[in-house]
Amino acid sequence: MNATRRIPAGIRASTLSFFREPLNIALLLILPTLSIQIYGVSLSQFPEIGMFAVTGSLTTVGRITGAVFATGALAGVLGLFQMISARNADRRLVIAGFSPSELVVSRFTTILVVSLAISAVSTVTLTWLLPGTIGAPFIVFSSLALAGITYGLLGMLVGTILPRELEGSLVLVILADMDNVFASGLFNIDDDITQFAPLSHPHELVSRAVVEGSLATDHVLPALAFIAIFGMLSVSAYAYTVSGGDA
Amino acid sequence: MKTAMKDAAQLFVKMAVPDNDISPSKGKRQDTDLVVRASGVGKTYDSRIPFTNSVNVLENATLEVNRAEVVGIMGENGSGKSTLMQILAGVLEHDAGDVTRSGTVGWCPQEPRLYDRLTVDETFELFGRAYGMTDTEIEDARNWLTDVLDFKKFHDRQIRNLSGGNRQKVNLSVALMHQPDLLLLDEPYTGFDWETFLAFWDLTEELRERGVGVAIISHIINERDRFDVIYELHDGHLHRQEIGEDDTVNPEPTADGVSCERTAAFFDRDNATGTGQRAANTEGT
Repeated sequence: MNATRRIPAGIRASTLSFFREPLNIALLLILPTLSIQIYGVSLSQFPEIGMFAVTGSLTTVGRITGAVFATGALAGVLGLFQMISARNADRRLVIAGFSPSELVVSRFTTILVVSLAISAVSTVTLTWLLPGTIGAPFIVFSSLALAGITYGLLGMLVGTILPRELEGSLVLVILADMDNVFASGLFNIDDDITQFAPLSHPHELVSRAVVEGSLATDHVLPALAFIAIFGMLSVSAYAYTVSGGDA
Repeated sequence: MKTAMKDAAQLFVKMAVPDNDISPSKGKRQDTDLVVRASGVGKTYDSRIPFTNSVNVLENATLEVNRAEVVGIMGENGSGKSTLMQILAGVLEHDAGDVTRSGTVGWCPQEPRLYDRLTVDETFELFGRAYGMTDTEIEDARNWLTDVLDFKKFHDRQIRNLSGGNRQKVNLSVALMHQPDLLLLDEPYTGFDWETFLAFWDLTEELRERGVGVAIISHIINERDRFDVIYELHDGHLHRQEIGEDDTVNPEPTADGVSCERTAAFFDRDNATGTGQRAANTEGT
């Protein structure tokens, strides 16, 4: 009975905390546009002479890559900040009566809401900046949401085990950058390797939805598997922390 | 503010502890009076970095807080007072010994552990729900505490926009709002103005009368008349001092067999200097 009152209060509190931070809103509005535009312009500077392993337009590939990177990196960093800023207060809330599992549900739901917001902004920006129309915008949105949730959970995990803003942000941005290089498909890297890059599957889903307007069904399950793995790891680490296990 | 204190008293009539259960603060104690007991507690902070030393903070520390008792815990910077308080509150694991609590606990940490982007009202709502309070109970507690501690006008302001003193008032209120059996306060009046400082002690006195056990950490306890027992934390050991009816300290061997010369010396010095702070406090109350 109490859980049904506590969980909504927890979700409301952490969502309000997120959207009341001006830096979060600024990043949410600026980063996707900046990333999509910069990736697109940068790649368009290269001559299309078979230097990269892509079949479509380099500008389009660049903008898709920028959208996936912006969504993943931003969700990751915001997930990290959320964990770090609320760490001490969360522990007090557990002492007051929240169970760690209720708090985990609250945090997980907030990550979900934030990832959906970032994905929505990235989808709108991508639609606006791409020269043609997007084949399947809802699939693009859903696929970007998968990228956002994956990295939001990764940010939650990094923020739990490395509760330092600078170091945690560096870890996440470097991871997202490396991941995105593998995922972009620009270089002819063996699929046996790239399949372990978490962003490779959302990237492929977005690419297929933009260019062909179809769903890359073979990438749905691997993308969900990454979410399940990061979800279990981050939830376990977070529950361990808020229950005082790391003290 | 006095009216507010009366309201506070009315509200505390609703507490789970019936009046006839309240023991005199300086009388003989029953086991049922005990709200927290720490026995032989040890705590060492291990370093996770190679070639650095571990820090031994608490060693065989023993402490009791009973209902209707106000206990002071004092010690130098870094002596482990906050560590002890966190162990009593159940926030921090201890390495050795036992801690037993009975009843509900209210914990007011030294640094306000609050959500900076939530308003005062939202903070009451969130923690009230954590405590399992109904909406009416939360509203009553909010009205009472914002009135008693005089920060009603900031009810819709975000925590980050409050002054240090007002933030501390919210911090204290969160610990108090569910009317706990045991209150653990870690330097609760940091940043309080004089009026609020006096209101805090009035409130503490009310809590004592209502049977709440209160443990308060302070660097310098110059309000010794207000405490029933004082523990001094030194070199990881706790030294217990009863405050006598004649207002003198009665040094006696502690659980670990160390006499409390330091505390006695502190009080002797305080008596000799007759600080203006204490005189003013007495007048103010």
